[in-house]
Formats: sequence, structure tokens, C-alpha cells
Amino acid sequence: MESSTPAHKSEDYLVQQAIKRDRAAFTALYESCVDRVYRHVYYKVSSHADAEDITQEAFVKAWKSIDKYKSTGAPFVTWVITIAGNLVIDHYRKEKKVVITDEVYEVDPNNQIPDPAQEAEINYSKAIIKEAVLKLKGDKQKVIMMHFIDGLTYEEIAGALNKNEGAIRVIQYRALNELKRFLKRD
Amino acid sequence: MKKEQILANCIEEIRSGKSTIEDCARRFPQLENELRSLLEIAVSLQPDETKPSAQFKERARMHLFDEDAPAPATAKLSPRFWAWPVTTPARVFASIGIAFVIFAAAGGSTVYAAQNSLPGDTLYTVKTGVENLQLAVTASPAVKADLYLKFAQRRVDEMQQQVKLNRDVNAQALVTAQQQFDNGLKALSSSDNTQASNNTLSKLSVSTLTEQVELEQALAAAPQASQPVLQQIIDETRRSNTIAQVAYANNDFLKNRPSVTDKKLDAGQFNIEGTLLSVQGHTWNIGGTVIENVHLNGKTPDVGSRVELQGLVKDNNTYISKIQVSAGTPEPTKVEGRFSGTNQNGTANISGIEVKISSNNAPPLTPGEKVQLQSGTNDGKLDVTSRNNAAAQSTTVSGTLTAVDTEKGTITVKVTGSQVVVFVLKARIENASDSHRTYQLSDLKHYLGHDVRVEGLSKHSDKLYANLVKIDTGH
Repeated sequence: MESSTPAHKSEDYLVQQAIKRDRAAFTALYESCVDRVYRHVYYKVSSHADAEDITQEAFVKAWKSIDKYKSTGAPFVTWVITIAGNLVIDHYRKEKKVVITDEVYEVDPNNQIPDPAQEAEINYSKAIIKEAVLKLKGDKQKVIMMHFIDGLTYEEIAGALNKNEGAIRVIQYRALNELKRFLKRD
Repeated sequence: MKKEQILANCIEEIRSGKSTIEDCARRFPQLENELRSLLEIAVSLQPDETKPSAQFKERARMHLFDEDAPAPATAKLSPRFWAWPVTTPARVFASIGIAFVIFAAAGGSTVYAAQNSLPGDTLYTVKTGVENLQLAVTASPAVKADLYLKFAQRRVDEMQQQVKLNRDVNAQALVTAQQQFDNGLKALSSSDNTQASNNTLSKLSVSTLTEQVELEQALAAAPQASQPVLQQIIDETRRSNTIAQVAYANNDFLKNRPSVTDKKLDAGQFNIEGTLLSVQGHTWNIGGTVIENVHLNGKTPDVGSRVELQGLVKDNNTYISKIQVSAGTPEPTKVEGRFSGTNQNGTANISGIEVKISSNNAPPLTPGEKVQLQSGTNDGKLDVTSRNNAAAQSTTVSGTLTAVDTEKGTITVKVTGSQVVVFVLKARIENASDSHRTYQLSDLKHYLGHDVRVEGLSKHSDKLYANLVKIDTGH
């Protein structure tokens, strides 16, 4: 299989092969991107079950529309993350209701039992900041998510959003100021 | 350079460990406050440390190419889920509850692990990032102060842990602790919630006391390279304790912007007792010794009464932290403090107070010496009765004796509103006014409500031990 040879493992090559409907190439892309897409979605939906469903659907859609993919200089994962981001919006539109879960997550026995007060303090802070990030609109949320949550560089974000790096820095500056306003108001 | 470029550069420098928020903020003084607040938020923005399960990844891989991929489960709830109508207020609480459960389960483990990390560990930035986030989202000065002081004490605890693990204690940790102590005190000074401030000061007073004891023990075990930093943090923890005690009794003190790095605080503490001869505005004459710009939280005592004061002089202001007033009896005036030099008018500077010392043949005092003076004649001059130029100060606790437990061998001392329990079974017990008599622990029950000074503190298995208790029978 061509796409499995080390010389051909570069992302561009895999994408080109996937566009030609090479399933193995797309599977390789899936393997390299799935963790980051999942992390992005989970940040937004805070539910493992929903994050799994949306992540899976994002890759299915990506495969279906891979022929529409145009390289912008940003990593392939940003394209899948954009698809996943739209699915998150659809998810909230469709749901319009709150789901109570009785899911039980295993606690790593190697970790120390946390101090309940400290635990509450940390969770509270994380919840507040996440809520503020999700209040950001449009490119502001995209830039903050891509830079801080997805770990993309300014150059990669610029490619993904079809803007120059200077514009990304301006959006980041404005977004952080808006977060500051949200947090102060809360 | 444009603001957004400066911000972007700083974010990258901090993320790569080349700089800190404080360094960046200070480098651009015209943007200092804005930059600090934005960087605090930026540092706090971190992904949840979560990964999809291997089972999910395998399952999703199997279905990548299904033309009829199953619809997402979000649209059809599994039996494990049940829905709650969107319109009820309970939705809000439910959302919060879900968020908390999930954060605790997923992102939490990394953050918990980070809580035990030390400077130099990979997860240490997560720990400080969470702290900065807490500070960034806190608007109340009283709560912010509480957080800053709590974090400063964490830095001190981290230094002790580093010593235990044979790691070097670096100067950066010291600088961070200093900044956090001072930022906490600054936030307290702008708080108008006196009760909350006093609670914070009370906690600070007790925690810094035990930290001093622990740090002194750590210093003895520390490698030589770490000793200067540890000695400095001991001094600063002691000053923090002093500030907490003085500010607890006299909130005015915080407006003077005390800093844990201010070495003058060490020399500014004094005790003075004598007859209050006059009060003019904020200037008091006690047995011929004048104290100026007196700040007292409470009623000024009557002229003619006998007063016993404890306090601190800073920038020509005299902050009284403790006052006892009794009926005037002709007893000598006593002053205790640290000699810091001779004033231009020939008087001695004892902890910032001008004191006339009678000339005798004793060797001259040297700056830094701790001295006790007492009036022996009627010329308003005081004789030196005791002097001690030892630089080292052992940790002591002074307060009101509130309980004695002879079975456990403990006494309880009330300090700045908090109760401190000390094990004293092996301690010598003295009475300041009757040094010839030997006291037993049970004798202390007769002195409940009196002031005591507990010296030679050490800490083992989370318990404080002392080797000397001095009872002050007062007047």
C-alpha cells in the first residue's frame, strides 16, 4: 500500500491520496488528527458521549466531502475541526435541552485523592473560563480555540482563516479583552 | 511595536518558559496593568487533558467509510440519559452540575497532579496557570488578597518540599513569593470589608508562624546553595507575620503599604511602658519619651494613666498593635526595641523612637542591637538594662493564654483572633516578674487570660513544640 511507506507519509501526500478516494490515506489522516479533534469538541460540549458522536460524524463528513478540500497552508486537522465546530453548533440547535448523565468515570488510582475544597475551586475556575470562551463570537472564539486549545501557531491559524498573521494577533488581542470583560462581569 | 504584537510575543515567551507574566508586564510599563490582566487570562487558557478512548477510536475507524453512518447519539438518547425540559430554572443548575462532574473526571486528574508539582516540573505551569486564572476571575479585593496570600504560602511550602527532595531552591520562587505576599497586602489595603480582611490577617499570622518554624528546620537540612534563599524567605515570612499582627490590630497600617522585603520592619518593633504624661494631637509623651504620629484603633487613654504599648514604627508613623491601660502608679518607664543609631540631637534611635540614654561607662550600643532600657533617675533619661546583639531570632509566639491541658501537655494561645496549640510538656515555665520560682504546667491554669510568650518553637508531625513559656503577669 503506497500510503503506508514512510516516504509518502507527509500530510500533503496523504491528503492528495485521500482526495483520490484512497481509504488507507484517509485512515492515516484520521489516526493523526482524531485526538485533537476530540479534544476540541470535548472542550465545547463537556460530554464524552457527545464528543465521541460529533468527532465520529466530523470524520465521516470529511471523507464524504474530501474532494472539496483546498489546502490553505494550515494543517489538515483545522479543516476537520471546522467541520466538527459546525456540528457542535447543530448539536446545540437540535438538542435545545439539557441532558443529565449518570455516566461514571474511572478515577486513576495513582492520583492522590484531591482536597474537596481545592477540587471545587479548580473546577469552578475552569468552568468559568470555559463558559467565557464559549461566549466569544465568530473569529474571536476560533482564534482563541485554535491557539490555546488546539495548539496551532499564528501562521497555521492565519492559513485556516484565510487572513494574515497580523490580523490574527489583532483578533487575539480583542478576544482576550472581551474575555476579560466577561470574567469581570461574572 | 503595536499592542497586539507585544501581547502575542509575551504569550509565546511565557509559554516557552523564557519569561513570566511579571517580567513581560514590567518590560512595557505603559501597558503594565492591561498586559498583566490579559496574560493572566491567556496563561489560564488550557485544553482539557482528555483523550478519546481506544475503543471509541477503533469503533469510529470502522465506520469512517459507512455510506450510512449511524446518526449521532445526541439525537437519540440512550437509556442512560434522561431529558429535562429546557424552560425550567433547574436547567441552569443542571448545566453547572454536569460541567463540574465532567471537569472533575476528565480535566481534573491532570490538575490534581499539577497541584503537587514543584518548580521545574512539567505540570508546574498548569498549577500556576490555574492560580492565575483564579486571580483573574476574582474581583473582590478581600478574596483576591486571600488568594494571593494563600499562593504565596504555597510557594513557601514548595521550597520546603524542594529541600526535602534535595533539589535546589531557586531565587525565582523567592521573587514570586515576595510579589504574591505584597500583592495580597496591597489588595487587603483596598478592601473595605474589615471582617474579611481580619480573617485573612488572622490566618496569615498563624500560617506564617508555623512556616517560620518549618523553614528554620528546612534551613538546617538544606544544601549550602539553597541556604541564602531559604534564609531570605524566613526573614520575609517573619515580616509577613509581623505585618499581619500589626495590621490585624490596626488596619491603618496597611495604608502605609508595608512590604515583606522592607528590612526596616525588623528594627521598627517596640514595647514601651510608663505613665502617659501628655497627648497632643497624635503625639504622646510616655514618662518623658515621646512617640509621634500615633495610630491607635480605639480610644486614647487618659493622661496620667499607666500604659503598656506594643507597636511598630514605620516612616515616622507609630502603629499601636496592643495597649494595656491601668491606674497610674509611679513606676519606671521601660522601652524595648532595636538600636539603629544616634540622632542628630544626640538621642538614641530605638525602633524609630527618640530615647535619651543616660551616660555611663558601658560600651556604646551598636546598630542592630536589641536593647531594654529603664528610667532610673528623674532627668527623663533611661539606662540600658539589657542588650543583645545576636542577629538570629528564634520564632516565638506571643498572645493570650486561653487554655491549659495538663493531660495532653498543651497550652492554647490566642494570637490575632486565632487559637494556637503548643505542646509544652518539656518546656521551662517562667514568670517575667518572678524569675526565681519554678512553675509547673498546672500552675499555668492560674494565669488564663494573661499574656504569654512561647519561645524555642519546633514542629514535628504537624505539632508545635516549645521549650520556654514566659508568663507576663502585667499590671
